[in-house]
Amino acid sequence: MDSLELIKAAIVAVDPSKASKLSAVTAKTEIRELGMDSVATMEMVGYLEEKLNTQFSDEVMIRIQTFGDLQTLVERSKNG
Amino acid sequence: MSLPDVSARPATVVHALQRLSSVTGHGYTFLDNAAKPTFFSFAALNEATERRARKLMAFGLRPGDRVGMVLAQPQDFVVSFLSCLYAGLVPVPMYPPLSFGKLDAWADGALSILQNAEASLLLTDAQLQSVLWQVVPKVKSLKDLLTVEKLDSLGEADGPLPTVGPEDLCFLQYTSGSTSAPKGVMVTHGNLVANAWAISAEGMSLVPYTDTALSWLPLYHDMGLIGFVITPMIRAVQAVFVPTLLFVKRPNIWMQTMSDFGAQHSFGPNFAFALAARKAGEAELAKWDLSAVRVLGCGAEPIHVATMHAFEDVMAKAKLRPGSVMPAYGMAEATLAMTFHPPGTPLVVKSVNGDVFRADGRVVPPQDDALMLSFVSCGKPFSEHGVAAMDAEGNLLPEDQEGELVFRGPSVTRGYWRNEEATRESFRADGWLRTGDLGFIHDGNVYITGRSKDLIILNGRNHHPTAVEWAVAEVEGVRKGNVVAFSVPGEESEVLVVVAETKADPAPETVEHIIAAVSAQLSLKVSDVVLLGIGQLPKTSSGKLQRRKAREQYLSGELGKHGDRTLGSSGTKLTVARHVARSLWGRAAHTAGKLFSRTPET
Repeated sequence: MDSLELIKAAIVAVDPSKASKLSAVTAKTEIRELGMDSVATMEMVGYLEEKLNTQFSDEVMIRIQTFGDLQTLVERSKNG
Repeated sequence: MSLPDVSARPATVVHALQRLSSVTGHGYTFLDNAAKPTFFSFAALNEATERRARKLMAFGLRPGDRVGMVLAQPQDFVVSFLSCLYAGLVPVPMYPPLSFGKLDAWADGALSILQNAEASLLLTDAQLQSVLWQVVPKVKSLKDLLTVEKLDSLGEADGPLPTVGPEDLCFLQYTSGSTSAPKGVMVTHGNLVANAWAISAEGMSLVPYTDTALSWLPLYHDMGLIGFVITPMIRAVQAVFVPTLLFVKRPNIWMQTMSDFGAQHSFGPNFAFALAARKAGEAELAKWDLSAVRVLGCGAEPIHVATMHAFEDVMAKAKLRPGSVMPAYGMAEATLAMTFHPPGTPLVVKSVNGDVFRADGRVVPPQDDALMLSFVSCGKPFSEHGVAAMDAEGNLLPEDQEGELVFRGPSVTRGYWRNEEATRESFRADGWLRTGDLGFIHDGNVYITGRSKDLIILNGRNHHPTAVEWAVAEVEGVRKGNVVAFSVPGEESEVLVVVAETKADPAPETVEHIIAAVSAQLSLKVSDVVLLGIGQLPKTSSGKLQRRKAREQYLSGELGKHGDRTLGSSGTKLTVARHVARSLWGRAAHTAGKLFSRTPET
């Protein structure tokens, strides 16, 4: 699964109601624009960490704003 | 060697830990982000605290100086917080930046707290320091930013530690206010000892040198800090700390670690019980053993009885005893806890005639042809403390009459730091603290029925509605100054509703834009948006918006009934909310609100 698809799957796993909004998402879309609260967002991160068997550092996470940022992070962790 | 006697109340928090300085077999366990535990005996904790306190004093700080603390890891937080107390400094716990959040918005919040507190020092860790440096030059009182890593690397310092007394200010707990005017609750050592003693001895019946308490709650919030850092050490009870983000990312870790450590006590806001029940799979439930659990306190946001029952039903498969979930009520201004439902007993629900109650606030038995309202009991106040309902003129009301709940006793804090106006408003001269919550007393039990102050509590955290309303006002097509935000009971927890008047013919995307604006600025999810025509929002005769009335109209389906009403993103939610509003709810403490209390704003 490519990184963007994995991120979308993580979002749907946490909040299925967001599925319809994901087709319009681009790398520049801010994750916050989807309208998830901070708890749901962290659940989504937990899903990604589990799938990638990794752990993102707090410092990196607070600087992520867009889907592109998160995609880069996922790519990096896939490449070890 | 015999264990120190903890049957008497210590004079201060410092005294509470110092009297355990010989205890090597009991203490606190900190899990890191990989859930790896590190154990500190009370002896080791006392030693680490003393060492750090002396190093802090070497920076030329004077007793009473404020120290801002932005620390995400429980171990760093606990040792740093306690070392400030040993050094006579006043810690100011602050929430760390959120993932995916707007760093600038967070920095603004941090700045206003540091400025209000006139902090002399900012304590953080190596990971977070880079985002904090931008704030430092803007706070005139700040002498330095220090990381815990730097403190650890410094050589040992010596010198005497000051004597701390019960009347001394212990820490400042910042609560929801509008961002421009943060309010720091002044909590003394005497307040903390009184409240923590009541919680441990009366509320939860903690057994010294035997019990274990476990928490994933944020420590910058009163429920986590007072409930699980201060209270256990006052009774020589062990505590286990799980990083907050670890719980949110992997909710099963809560009950997993309760089972692993055979813990008896924990606490969480309503939403956490919903999350934990939803995530627990059959495989986990079969593995866990929760038979040791005695009290799972629920506070800090309105309690949904259905959520509590669903949680107990699911966890029964892991041997959780029925009646383990305990509603609690509290707030930061009351130090932390005000009332606890008796642990181990079923929830007590009071059903009333809704028509009479809504008309004049009287509690009378329900009738067949009338609307029925049900409320959950949050229990009785602790000894030496009192809770009553008060009318708008300041008269105490008899039982079974709704009014603003007021609280008194040794847990009532000193007021707000350098904010006399706000202090006068809430801390009455006769000793009663105004809670801003509406409720009634029945058979001595406290029932919460709503709020007189317009505070929104979501996921255990308090938010001032103006912050949401300002974000919405920026959206194209919305009539500025004609927006209200409030929360209503949702399926599991409270949900956020926005009602906005729009200019004629709003664009179809307006609802989406409102949801995105609130999410982007505040990291909050809007569950329903109602767009109204001009002049449809309820206002006072002087033109002031009436949030409470708008909320009532929303719940009863009356909102904008006579205007061009457009249902928002989720029309079905409205029906759900209306339905749930008639079912049971109670509200517990805050501290990020309420069991506790009012928490800092996100």
